[in-house]
Amino acid sequence: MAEEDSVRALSCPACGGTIALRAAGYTVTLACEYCGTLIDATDPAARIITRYNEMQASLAIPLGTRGTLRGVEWEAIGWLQRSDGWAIWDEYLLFNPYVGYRWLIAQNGQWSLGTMLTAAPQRDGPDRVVAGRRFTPFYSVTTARVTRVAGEFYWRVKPGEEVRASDYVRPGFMLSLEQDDRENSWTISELLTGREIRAAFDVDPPPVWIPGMTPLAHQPSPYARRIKGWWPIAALSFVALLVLLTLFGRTMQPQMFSLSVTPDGPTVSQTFGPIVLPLGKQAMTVEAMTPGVEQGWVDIDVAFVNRKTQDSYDAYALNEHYSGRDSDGYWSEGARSQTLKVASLPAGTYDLVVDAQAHHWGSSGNWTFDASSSTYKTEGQPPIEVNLTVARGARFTSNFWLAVLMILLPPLFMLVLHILFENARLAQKDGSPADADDWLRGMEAP
Amino acid sequence: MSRSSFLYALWCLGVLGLYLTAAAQGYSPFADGGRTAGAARAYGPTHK
Repeated sequence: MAEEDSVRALSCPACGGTIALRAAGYTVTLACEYCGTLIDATDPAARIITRYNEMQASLAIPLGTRGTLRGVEWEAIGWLQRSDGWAIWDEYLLFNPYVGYRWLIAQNGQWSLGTMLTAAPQRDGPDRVVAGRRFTPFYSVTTARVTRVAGEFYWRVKPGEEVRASDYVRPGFMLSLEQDDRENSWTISELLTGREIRAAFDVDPPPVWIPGMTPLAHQPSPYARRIKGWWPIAALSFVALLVLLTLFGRTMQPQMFSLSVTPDGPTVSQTFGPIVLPLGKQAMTVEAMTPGVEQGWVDIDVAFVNRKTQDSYDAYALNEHYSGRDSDGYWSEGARSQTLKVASLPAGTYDLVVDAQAHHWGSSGNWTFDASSSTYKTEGQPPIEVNLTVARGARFTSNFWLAVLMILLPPLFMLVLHILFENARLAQKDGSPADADDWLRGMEAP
Repeated sequence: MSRSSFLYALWCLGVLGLYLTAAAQGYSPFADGGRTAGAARAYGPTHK
C-alpha cells in the first residue's frame, strides 16, 4: 500500500500509455517507457518536451528496479547516456525518499556509485582534497553531452544538453566537476566491486582486465593489491630458503688425498678410498688444489666408482695459473683451486679414481721434441702436487637462486601486468605525462 | 588472506618443498659431472 501511495500515474500525451511517477514532487522530467516521449512532469497537462522515439534501449537496469547498495534500498528512476565524443557511458539515477539521489555510472562494464557533494572540494595546488583524500587531475575540461534519456530526473534534461566536465582521480575514486551556465556541481564516484553491483541489481560483473583493454581513469590496478599482498609471503619464503640453505649446505667428514704430477709428463692415475656413504642419496664436494701450478695447467678428472655396482659419477677440474708483465704492468689469470660438486650419489662404498695430467705453458725450461705426439715438451719442471679434499654434502647455491627466482616469478609477472595496466590507464590522462608519482599512486589502496 | 594470496602461498610452499627435496637428495641441475676426456678444452692464458 505504501508503495502505491508513493507512485502517481500520468497518461502519456503521445501514446496514452500509463506512466508511473515514482518520485512525485521531485521529478521535473520523465520519459514514457512505451514510446520514449519526454514529458514535463511539472506541467499539470503533462506537456511534451520532445519526442525521442528511437529510445528503445535495452537497459542493464530496467527503470523501476530496486536494489540494496551499501545498506540502502535504491530505485532506478532515470537513465541517461552521455558522451564526450570519445567515450560513452550510462548514468542511472537512483532514488530513495529518505536518503535522496545517487548516480550509478556504468562504463566499459565497470560500475561506480556517485554521490553529489554539497560543498566544493579544497584546492591544493593542482589537486583537490575531499575529506582528507587527495585527488589528482586526470581529464581536463571536456564537454559531456546527453545523447539518450529515459525516466525521471530532478532537472529538465533533454538530449543534447551539455556540461563542461573535469575529472580528478585517486585509485577507486573519481571526483567530477560539471559546469554549465547556472551552476557547478561536484560528484564523487566510487568504483563498485563486481560482487556489490551484482548483489544489488543483478547485472553482469565487470570484465577482467587483459592487456589491450582500456581501464577507467579511476580503476585501481587489480595487480597492485596482489603484489602488496604477496611481498610478505615472498619475504617469508626467502627467509625459509636461507634457513634451509644453512641447514642442508654443510659438508662433513672431509678426507684428504694427494698425488704428484710432472708437467708435460704422463697422466697419473690413482685410486683412493674407501669413501663410505651411509645415507640414501647425497652430494659430494671435491676441492682440487694445485698450489704449485704456474705458467701451466692441470687436468684433473675425478670419478666416484661404486665398488658394488661399478657405477661411476664423474667430474672434471682444470686448475691453471698464468702471469706475466706487459706495458700495463703485472698480470695474472687462472685459478689454482676448483671446487667440484657431484650430485645424488646413492649410498654405498666408493673409490675415488683420479686422473691428472699437468702441462707447462711458456718459454722457460728445456724444450725437447716428442715424436709420439709431435709437440715440444719441457723438461726439468718440478712436479706439481694435486691435493684433493673430499667431503660429504654440498652447498648448491644455484638451487637457492633458482628457488628465489621461482618465488619471485609470480610477483614479477604481476608487476609487469601492473605496469601494462597503468600504462593503459595513464595513456588517457590529459596534461603532463605520467611520471614516477603516478606509478606510486597506482599502488595506493583504494 | 585473499584467494590469490593463498594460492601464491601454496606456490611458495611448493617451491620450498622442491628445494627441500633436492637438498635432502643432494640434487642440483647445475651440479658438476660428466667426464670431459676427449672434449675440446681451451688452455693457455687469454690475456690480450
